[in-house]
Amino acid sequence: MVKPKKSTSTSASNGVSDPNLENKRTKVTVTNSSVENARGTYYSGAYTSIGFDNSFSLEKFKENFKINILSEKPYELVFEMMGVDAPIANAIRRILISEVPTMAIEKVYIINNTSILQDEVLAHRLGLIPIKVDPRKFNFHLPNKEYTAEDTLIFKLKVKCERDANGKIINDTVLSKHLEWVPHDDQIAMFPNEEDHPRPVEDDIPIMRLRPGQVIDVQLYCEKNIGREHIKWSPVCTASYRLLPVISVDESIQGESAEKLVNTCPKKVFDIEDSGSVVAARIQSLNQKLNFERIRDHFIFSIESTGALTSRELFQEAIKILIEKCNIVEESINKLVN
Amino acid sequence: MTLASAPNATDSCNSFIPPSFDVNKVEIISDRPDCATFIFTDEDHTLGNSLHYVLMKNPKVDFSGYSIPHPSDNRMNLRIQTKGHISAQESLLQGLNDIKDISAHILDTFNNTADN
Repeated sequence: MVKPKKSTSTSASNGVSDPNLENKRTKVTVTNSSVENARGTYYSGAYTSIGFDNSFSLEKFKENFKINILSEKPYELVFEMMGVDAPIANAIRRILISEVPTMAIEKVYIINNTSILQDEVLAHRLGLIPIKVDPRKFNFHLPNKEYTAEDTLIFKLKVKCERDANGKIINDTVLSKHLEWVPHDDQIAMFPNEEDHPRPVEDDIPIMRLRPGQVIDVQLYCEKNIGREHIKWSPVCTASYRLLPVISVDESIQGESAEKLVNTCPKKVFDIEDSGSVVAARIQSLNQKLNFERIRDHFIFSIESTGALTSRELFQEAIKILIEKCNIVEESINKLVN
Repeated sequence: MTLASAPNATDSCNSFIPPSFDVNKVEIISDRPDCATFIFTDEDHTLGNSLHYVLMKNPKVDFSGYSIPHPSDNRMNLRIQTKGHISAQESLLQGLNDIKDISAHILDTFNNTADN
């Protein structure tokens, strides 16, 4: 086996230097009209001509892989991930959105509803309220099985809108803070601290409006599931990534044209939007000498949590789930072969 | 309305993957050891593209590709052809291991970075 080479070495001893191919390998090019080389080539022998071993080796991966946290709030994490290719980064992103489980209201038993909001609309609105409770403490509820303390959380919502002695209307807006946890005896031991008690993430989410005399009385059953089943179980507001942009200027831009470029720069040429995409309002005559590129294996990842778990926990869970998915497939194949 | 007490833990699944009721996660269609189509149930681009990627990067594999034939079917097909030194099944197991290794290292690195 040839010893793996550093990704930066183009003038390899057993290959011909080809800056063009090297550029295709490491970068995505943004032109005026299109994005070029967006799709990477992953065939193990794709870059043998430039002396680069494109096959996977764990040592090489460990050497190149880096993570750098850019900003962190409990529920908003932005970090850089370098040395990993899009299929893996994308798998993590997809798992974050649709396969990390949370608890959400699934069954709504309506005892009384004299408001003008239809039962089914109310049930749908209730389902979308993010519940602050650690889903790892619960099991998945199996269909056609009795609810148990280990797979179900019960809330009740009982609000009556009235006029008080002064004629002031009270409870005219039903808010998420009106949800009241109805703990099972076993569940009190699961959540010994008052602040860990299951509740909506936010207290001030409006559920519906009432007029005096109208009543709402419902029982809410939360179950554990994943975002692929229904988006209400998705643990993230969004999880996304973008590639690191690189803007390079040809050395031949000197003197007058350099000045022209610098003067134009702050507002027109190098205008980078919030999304990170470069607004390519370029100077026509310098078009060939400016390169707008993105580094293929440098991801800027952003995870915004809805509040059940912190962004950091979500990322850790997502990776564990990816490993678990592989284990399940492996088990199934071993069963078939033997 | 109350919850049943004394839950029987073996009745439900405590893993972070929802319980599946399919008999086989994977089916194999193959008439030669070096080529095979694997039919995955309840899998999508998440595993399909990751497996395609690590398999293509395996020097012993000639070809790998995946498709999701119909959006309403929860099925994903993965086709593998090896260069002949190993069987398609072995290459798939190798690929799964590679994904696990990558994931484990990402998790380790993340935890170490997070601690600092």
